[in-house]
Amino acid sequence: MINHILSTAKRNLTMQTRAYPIDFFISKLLSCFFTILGAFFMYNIVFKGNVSIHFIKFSGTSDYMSFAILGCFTNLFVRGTFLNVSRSFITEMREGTLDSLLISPVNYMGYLSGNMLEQTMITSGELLAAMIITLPFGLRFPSINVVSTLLCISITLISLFGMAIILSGIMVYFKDTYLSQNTVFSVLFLTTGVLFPIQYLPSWIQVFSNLIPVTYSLRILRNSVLVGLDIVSQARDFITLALLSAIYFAVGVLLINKIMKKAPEKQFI
Amino acid sequence: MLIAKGLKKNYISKEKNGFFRSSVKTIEAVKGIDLTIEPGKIVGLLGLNGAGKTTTIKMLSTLLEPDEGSCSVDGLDLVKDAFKIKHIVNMIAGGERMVYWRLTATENLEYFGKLYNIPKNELKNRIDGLIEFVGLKERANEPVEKYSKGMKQRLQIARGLINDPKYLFMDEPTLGLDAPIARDLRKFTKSLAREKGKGILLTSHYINEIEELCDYVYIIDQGLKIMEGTPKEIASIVANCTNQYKIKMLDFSEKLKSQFETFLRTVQSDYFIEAADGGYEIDVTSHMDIQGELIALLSQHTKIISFAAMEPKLEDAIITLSEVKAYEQIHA
Ligand SMILES: Nc1ncnc2c1ncn2[C@@H]1O[C@H](COP(=O)(O)OP(=O)(O)O)[C@@H](O)[C@H]1O
Ligand SMILES: [Mg+2]
Repeated sequence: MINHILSTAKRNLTMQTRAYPIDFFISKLLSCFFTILGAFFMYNIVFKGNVSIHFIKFSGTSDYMSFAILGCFTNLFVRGTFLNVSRSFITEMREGTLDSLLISPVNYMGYLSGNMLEQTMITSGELLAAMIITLPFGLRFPSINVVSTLLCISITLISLFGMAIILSGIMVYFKDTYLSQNTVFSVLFLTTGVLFPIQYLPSWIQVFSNLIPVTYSLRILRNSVLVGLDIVSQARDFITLALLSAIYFAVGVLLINKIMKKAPEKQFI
Repeated sequence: MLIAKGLKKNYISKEKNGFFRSSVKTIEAVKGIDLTIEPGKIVGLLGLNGAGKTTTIKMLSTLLEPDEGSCSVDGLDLVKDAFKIKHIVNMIAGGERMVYWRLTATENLEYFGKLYNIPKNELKNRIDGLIEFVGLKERANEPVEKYSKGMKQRLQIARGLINDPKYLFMDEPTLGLDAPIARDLRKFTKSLAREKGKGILLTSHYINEIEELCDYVYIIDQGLKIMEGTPKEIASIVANCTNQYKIKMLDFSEKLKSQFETFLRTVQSDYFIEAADGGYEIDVTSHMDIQGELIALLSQHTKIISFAAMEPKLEDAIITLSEVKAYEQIHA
């Protein structure tokens, strides 16, 4: 298992660095940069630098730029880990390597974990660069609670991995990347509170938001970084996030074993 | 020893008819196949496109679970012990896929080797050996996308051998390869069985390839076995099913024509004639070997300019064999 994790991560890193790594990296950073730039103009030109009382009440902070920047950072992780990891099996299918993989005694979870490990490493690098790019826009965290921030990041990674496993199964089952990827990504972007607190959304959408771990991750991250809340005072959010992560993870593991067993039948040669 | 009994596999595929509606279609790809592979022997699986060769191979290599039937590989059960069986079987398919194009040959083999949990030192030796074996030593550290077709195919062979399998399944391995490379591959396949004692199942739709390599042959059509035997037996049956002669001669008189047609009727054969620069050209198709009789008959009446017996075609043989099989089933 460990063997499969490490060799898959190493394999991916080799492939990534061989095929246009710079273009890839820059395009990701640019999209983060433009999202933040958009938020910056909205804030300074449309709202003239004033956030409403509602915003402060919903988010617990009046620093909209830091709020938006943290949203974009999280979104960078959602895209890097959740979306890229979920694409790994169907990419093997498309490139004609799934049979060589499945004919070997590969451990599905080891394989997926390897992809997750590699994506986490790459995305962390991107995050560092993104932090430097966004410095001029002013991310301020004078009262950060480091322990609860770190715990939040750890559980968030587990939840993103769980979601990735489920989506990877769905993609293989329906042999679709485009629709599932783009729909899921846009839905997550709109409903989990990347650029605004979810309380602005219609209440029926909020019901949905509350089933997605990313919603809790964003809230805990902002409360820990910007407001400085500790673990205990966010216990409810932490417990819900952990529970959701466990559920997504368990469903993913069950699903992927079932689906991958049938995967070779799905590809027509 | 690998013993398969009554293997069956259906594919269920959805067909779109209209925007929202779709219907489910079941394709019976393999309808009950028995076969045996002994270590050190090459077994051929011969059939036309769509006969079920790839499906059979994928079942044997644990990629597809059979719907019915059983298979034991050295006493292990194909379904229950699939995980253990993966360590002693492998598959090589024709074409350039099944390896990572963005990795080098060495990196590919390293990755697959690690999936089999081969210890580091042993893996390194094995990779060196395999790369040498398939003649990729000079280019082993170049990304596969820069390789020619033949080189990619050779790397795939190395991949198929990375776990040193006891049973190797080769699915049309020479498909799309240039003649000299295909010849090398055949030689190589032979040595894997003879020298390394591997049990090999080879599919092909080239009768010559099968004849040259195999110790035993199964012919399948539409998911069913229509015949089995040694390559000699198969070749003679195939040859008997389809004999084609191309004859050029000076003359084709009325007298000859009537005698010729009478003869062909007795052997249930057809012919086709055409006038060709100062003479006549005849094509004869027959289920029997009538070479001697044809020459004797024609040379009594005219001068034969050229006489060619065409190579037997597997396609024709399989069509004939399955007709015979269907006939036997109806009258059984
Ligand atoms: N993934 C699949 N889904 C549906 N039908 C398939 C699939 N793969 C093969 N078939 C069908 O099953 C039959 C046998 O195919 P195959 O085993 O590939 O034959 P061969 O290798 O002898 O050409 C064919 O009719 C083919 O169209
Ligand atoms: Mg085939």
